[in-house]
Amino acid sequence: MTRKRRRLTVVFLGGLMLSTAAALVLTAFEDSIVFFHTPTDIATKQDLQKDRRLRVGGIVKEESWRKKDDGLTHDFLVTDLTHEIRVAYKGIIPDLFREGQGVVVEGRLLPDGTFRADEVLAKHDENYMPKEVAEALKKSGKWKGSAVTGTPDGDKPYGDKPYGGKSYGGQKESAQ
Amino acid sequence: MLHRFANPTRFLRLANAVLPWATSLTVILIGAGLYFAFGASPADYQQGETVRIMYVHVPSAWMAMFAYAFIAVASAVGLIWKHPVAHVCALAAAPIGACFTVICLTTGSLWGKPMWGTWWVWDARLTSVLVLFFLYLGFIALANAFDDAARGEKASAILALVGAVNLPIIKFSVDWWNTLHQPASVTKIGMPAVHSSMLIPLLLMAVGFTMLFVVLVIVRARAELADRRINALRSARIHAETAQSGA
Amino acid sequence: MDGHGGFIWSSWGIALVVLTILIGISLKSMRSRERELARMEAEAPRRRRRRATETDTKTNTKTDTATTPETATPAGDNTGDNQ
Repeated sequence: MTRKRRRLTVVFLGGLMLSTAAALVLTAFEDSIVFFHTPTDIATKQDLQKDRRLRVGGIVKEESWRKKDDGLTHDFLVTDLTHEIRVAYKGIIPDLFREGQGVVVEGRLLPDGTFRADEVLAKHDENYMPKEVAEALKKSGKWKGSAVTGTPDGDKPYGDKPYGGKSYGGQKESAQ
Repeated sequence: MLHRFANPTRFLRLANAVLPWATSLTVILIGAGLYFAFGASPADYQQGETVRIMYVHVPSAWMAMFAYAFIAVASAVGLIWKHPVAHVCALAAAPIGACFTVICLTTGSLWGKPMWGTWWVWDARLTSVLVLFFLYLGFIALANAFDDAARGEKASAILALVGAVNLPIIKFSVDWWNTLHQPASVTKIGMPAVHSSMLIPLLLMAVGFTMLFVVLVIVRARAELADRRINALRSARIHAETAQSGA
Repeated sequence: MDGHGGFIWSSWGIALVVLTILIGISLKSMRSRERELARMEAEAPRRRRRRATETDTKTNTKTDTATTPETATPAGDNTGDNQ
């Protein structure tokens, strides 16, 4: 019995120390673990403004997307609803790219404040539904602040939190 | 409760009683899941038909994590209470979990190319799932690395417990950090993020995969127990022969 | 399928192939191991015979229908004794 209890204690304490260590490491390296920075990060964090490759994520602002006739040169605003950043990109954009949807762009920040992207990734949100349902929801006004339409429920379409990889709807996910 | 199944005889009796039920449930649920996934569910308003990849990707991802949690719990029980069946179950589950992880990663990649515009990115979710795959490989390798089976069991059980720290990281990576991968849909509170017509095939496949996991764990555990018994018989025979020649 | 049929079908195809291989290997190894065990127990030394005669004969006739509880039980009984 005492042996079993001792093994139990060792496993428990080991697990506790391991989780603490993991939590510390993950917190320490948070800046390299994040896949992208928000326009607010770019505006506020000095070291992000240096000339280096980085990724910026946010929502393609409604009615900001312009493309030239060649179909390859794109220009749009990426916003986290607090700050926005102008992105210039030449290349093929993914299927899910649209105004009001999430996007992650990779490239460099130019001195004039625009972002020259050489890669554009569409970020999908966590909502799955048939087309008819999406349209019915929009019509009835029950569309809860998804990034898709930009028809907000109130002034803060994406919830209180600025966009930052959290739920677009500002709704909390439950712990599983 | 646990002590009841620590005995291989009792374990096998229970496992063999469960096996036919689990097998028929697997066939029925996955069959129904496939019907809904391809026939009776609509295209998504954003992704179109590509949403049908979700019905194999998401259940595989759940199984990849569930199988690892199963291995971690079995390893803890094996280490602390020394139940012989616990290690057998952990060992049986490892290749199954590794296969589901492979399915999760490849189908995710096949979804990512048309939807995100890339096969792979090193974001927190994708990277932590890749780490999970290597943990599975490490567990299997370590369990078979020693001549002394008991040592392999102990070493692999410790690895399984250490690696369990990765599970919450996978689950919450999409909430803790900015990732390209979307956050959880099914466990979201509030407005259902997945419409019921798409939730049906998703859940059918998920429960079907769980039943398949049960079937495969039983089948593999039986093979492992028989294998151990064979080895025990062989060494007993060698002992008997050497004793005879000595006398 | 939206022009993405290739992605969809290869996803399900890969899942099917991986799971089929896994199921096949698992079943095959279970059958071969249990058959081998039954064979060894049939020619087991006398000390074991005395106790297990009854179940052994049963095992021999039923080796192929591996899903029945009777086949695995004697194997499990012995495993329990030895460890």
